[in-house]
Amino acid sequence: MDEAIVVGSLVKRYGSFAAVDGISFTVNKGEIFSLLGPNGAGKTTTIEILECIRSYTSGDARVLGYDVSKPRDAREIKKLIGVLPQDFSTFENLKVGEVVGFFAGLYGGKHEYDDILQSLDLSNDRNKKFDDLSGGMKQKVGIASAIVHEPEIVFLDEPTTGLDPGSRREVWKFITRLKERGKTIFLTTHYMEEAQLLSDHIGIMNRGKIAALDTPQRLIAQYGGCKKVELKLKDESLAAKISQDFETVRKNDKITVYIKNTRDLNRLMVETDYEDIEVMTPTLEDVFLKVVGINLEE
Amino acid sequence: MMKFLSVFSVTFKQWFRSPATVFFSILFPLVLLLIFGFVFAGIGSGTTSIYIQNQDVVNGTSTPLSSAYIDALNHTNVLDISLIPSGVDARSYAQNLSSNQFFSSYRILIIPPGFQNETLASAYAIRLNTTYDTLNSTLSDFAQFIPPNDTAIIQAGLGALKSYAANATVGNVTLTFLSDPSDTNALIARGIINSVAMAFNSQLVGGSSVINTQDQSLNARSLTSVDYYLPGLIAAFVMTNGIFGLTNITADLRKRGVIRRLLSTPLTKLDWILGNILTQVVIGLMLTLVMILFAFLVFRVVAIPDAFTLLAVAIGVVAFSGLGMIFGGLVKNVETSSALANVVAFPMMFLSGSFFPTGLYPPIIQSISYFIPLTYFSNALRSTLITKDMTGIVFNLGILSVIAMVFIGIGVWAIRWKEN
Repeated sequence: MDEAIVVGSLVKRYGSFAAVDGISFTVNKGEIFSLLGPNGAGKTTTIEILECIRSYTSGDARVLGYDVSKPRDAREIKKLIGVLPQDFSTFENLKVGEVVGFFAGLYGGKHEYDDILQSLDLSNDRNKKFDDLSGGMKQKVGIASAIVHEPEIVFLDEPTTGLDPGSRREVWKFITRLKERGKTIFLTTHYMEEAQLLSDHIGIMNRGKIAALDTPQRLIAQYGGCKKVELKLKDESLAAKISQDFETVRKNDKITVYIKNTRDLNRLMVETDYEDIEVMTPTLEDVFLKVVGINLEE
Repeated sequence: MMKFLSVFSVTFKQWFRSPATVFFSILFPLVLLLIFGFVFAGIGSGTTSIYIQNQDVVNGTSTPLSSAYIDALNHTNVLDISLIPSGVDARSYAQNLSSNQFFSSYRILIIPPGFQNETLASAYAIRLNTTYDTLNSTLSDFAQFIPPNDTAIIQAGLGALKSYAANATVGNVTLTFLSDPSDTNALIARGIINSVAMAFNSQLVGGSSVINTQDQSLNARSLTSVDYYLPGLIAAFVMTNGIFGLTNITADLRKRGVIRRLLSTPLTKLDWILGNILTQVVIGLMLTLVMILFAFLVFRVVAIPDAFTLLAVAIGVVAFSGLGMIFGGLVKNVETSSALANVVAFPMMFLSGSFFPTGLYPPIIQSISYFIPLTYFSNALRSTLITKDMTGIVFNLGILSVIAMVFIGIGVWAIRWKEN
C-alpha cells in the first residue's frame, strides 16, 4: 500500500453550511503534501478529520489504511501520526525538555529526544520555561513534540508562521530531512514559496472544495503559463483589449498578463504601448491568485 | 509511565509553578482560617458581656440580697459583668463605655431600689400562705390521725397564721433588662437572668430542686471555635479547588488549543480526568496538612489526620471535580461555566454548616443542608479530625461516596473529548 492518506467525497456540514464539500485526494507515503487555501476554506477542518479529532458528515477518510470514523482505528491512527497545530501552545509553566518529554510519554515506551532538540537548535533551551520563549522557539517546541515518537505521518499546520527568515529555513531543512527519513508530511502554509519549494503535491482548497490538485510544476504550467508580464499601460483603454486576448489580473495601476508561449509574448511586447514592463516566470502564488482570486500572503 | 501519571506530572508542575494558583489554593485558606479564628474566637468562649446597675443600696452599700443575686449571675460563668454606679443614668453610662468599642451593642440589667425588702416581704407572705394552706389541708384530710387536743392547738395556730398572712402582702419585684432587639446575645443574657431569678424565687419560698442537670462533655478535650472552622474550611477549599480546578484548567487549555493538541495523541479522556483528579487529590492533601499544622501552631488546635482523613479528602476531591466537570461539560462558554460554579459553590459553603453550625439556622435552611454535598464532606472531616466519631465517619463518608460516584459518572459523560 503506497497511500498514506485517502480521502473520498468527504463532506463536513454544520447545519446547511458545508465546511468541507465533497473533497477527494490521495497522499502517497513518503511525500510532502500541501493543502493551501484562504481562511475558512476548510483546510483545518479537513486536517482535524484526518487527525481523528473531528467527525465528518459523509464520505470516506483513511489514514494508513485505518478508517478515521471508527474509534478503534482512530486509536491506532493517533499512535502513528504527529501533529503540530496552528499557534502551538502547551502548559506554559513547563520547561522545554518537560514539554517534549510529556508528549513522548503519551506514546508509551522510551523515546529519546536529545537529537530532536539538537536538530531544532533547542538543546541550550531545554531548561527554559515554555512561557519565556519567543513565538518561533515555541513553534520549534511544537515541532519537536510532534515528531518525538517517530510518527509515520506528520501534520504540520502552518509550521513557519511567525518565524524569522533564518528560522523558517531551518524548519524547511528539518522538514526535508523528515521526508528523507521516509516520513509522510501533510502541510498547510500561507507561504507560497514554502509550498512550492517543499511539496510533492499541492491541493488548493476554496469554499470547502478542492479547486486544484497536482504537483507544483504542473499547477504552474496549467495555471501560470509560460511567462507572466506585468505592464503599466500608457493608455488604460488598452487593458480591455488585452484581457480579450490573454488571461489577465488587475492589480492597482498594473495589469498582469499570463502568456502561454513565446510567440504571444513577442506579439504583446510589440503591439502594446506600455510605460513600464516586467517579464517574470510564474510561481505558485500566481496559480493561487488565479484559482482562488486572492493573494494568500497579503 | 502510565499516561494518567504523565498528566498528573505536568498538571501538578503547572499548578505548583504558578504563584497565583498556589496562593488561592493553599495560602488564601490559611488567611481565612486566621481571620475566622480571631474574629469568631469570642463566640466559642461562652461569655456575654452585660452592665448591671444595682439601685438597691442602703447607706452607700448594696443590700445583701441584691449582692447575692449579682454573685449568682457571676457564678454562671456565662456573663461578663461590669457594674454601673447606682447614682448615674445607666443608658448614658453604658453607651459612653461601649462607644469606644468597634461593635457598640450593649445590655443593661437594672436592679430596682427596695429589691431586698420587697423580695423578702413577698417571700414572707408566700411562706405564711403556703404554711397555712398546708396545715389546713393536712388537718382536714388526716383528722383521724391527730389527737383531738392537738387538733385544737393546731387550729389556734392556724388562726394566728391567718391573721399574719392577712397583714403580709405579696409584692412584685421587677428587674429591668435593656437591650437592642437585633442583639442575639441578649437572648442568652435574658435567659440566664431569668434562670437565676427563678432559682432565687424557689429558694426564698423554701422550694427545692427536683430536676437538675449535669454537664458532661462529648469530647475528651474542650473544643474551641477553630476546632469547628478547621474541618469546615478544609472541606470548603477542597471543594472550590475541585470545582474550579478542573473546570478552569480545562477551559483555559481548550481556549489556548492545548486540548486540541492532546486530542490528536493516544491520551484518552479517562487518562486526562484521572491525571487531573490525582493532581487535585495531592493539592487537597497538601492543603489539609498545611491547615492542620497552621491551626496547631497558631491556635493550638490538635487535629490528628488518619487514614479516614485521607480517604475523605480523596472522595471529596472526586465528588467536586465531578461537579466541576459537569459545569464545564454542559455549559460550553468558559465564563458561564465559571459563573455557574460560583453560584453553586458559595451558597454551599454557608448552607452546609462548614462555617457555622446548622443548628443556628432556621428549620427550612437546616432541611436544605441535608441536600448539600458539602455538608457530608465537612461532617466527615469534622468526625475524622476532631471528634473521632466512627459512626459519623462511616455515615458521612458513605453518603459522600455515593455523591462522588454520581457526580463523576455524569462528569465523565459530560466532558467533551472530541471537536464537533
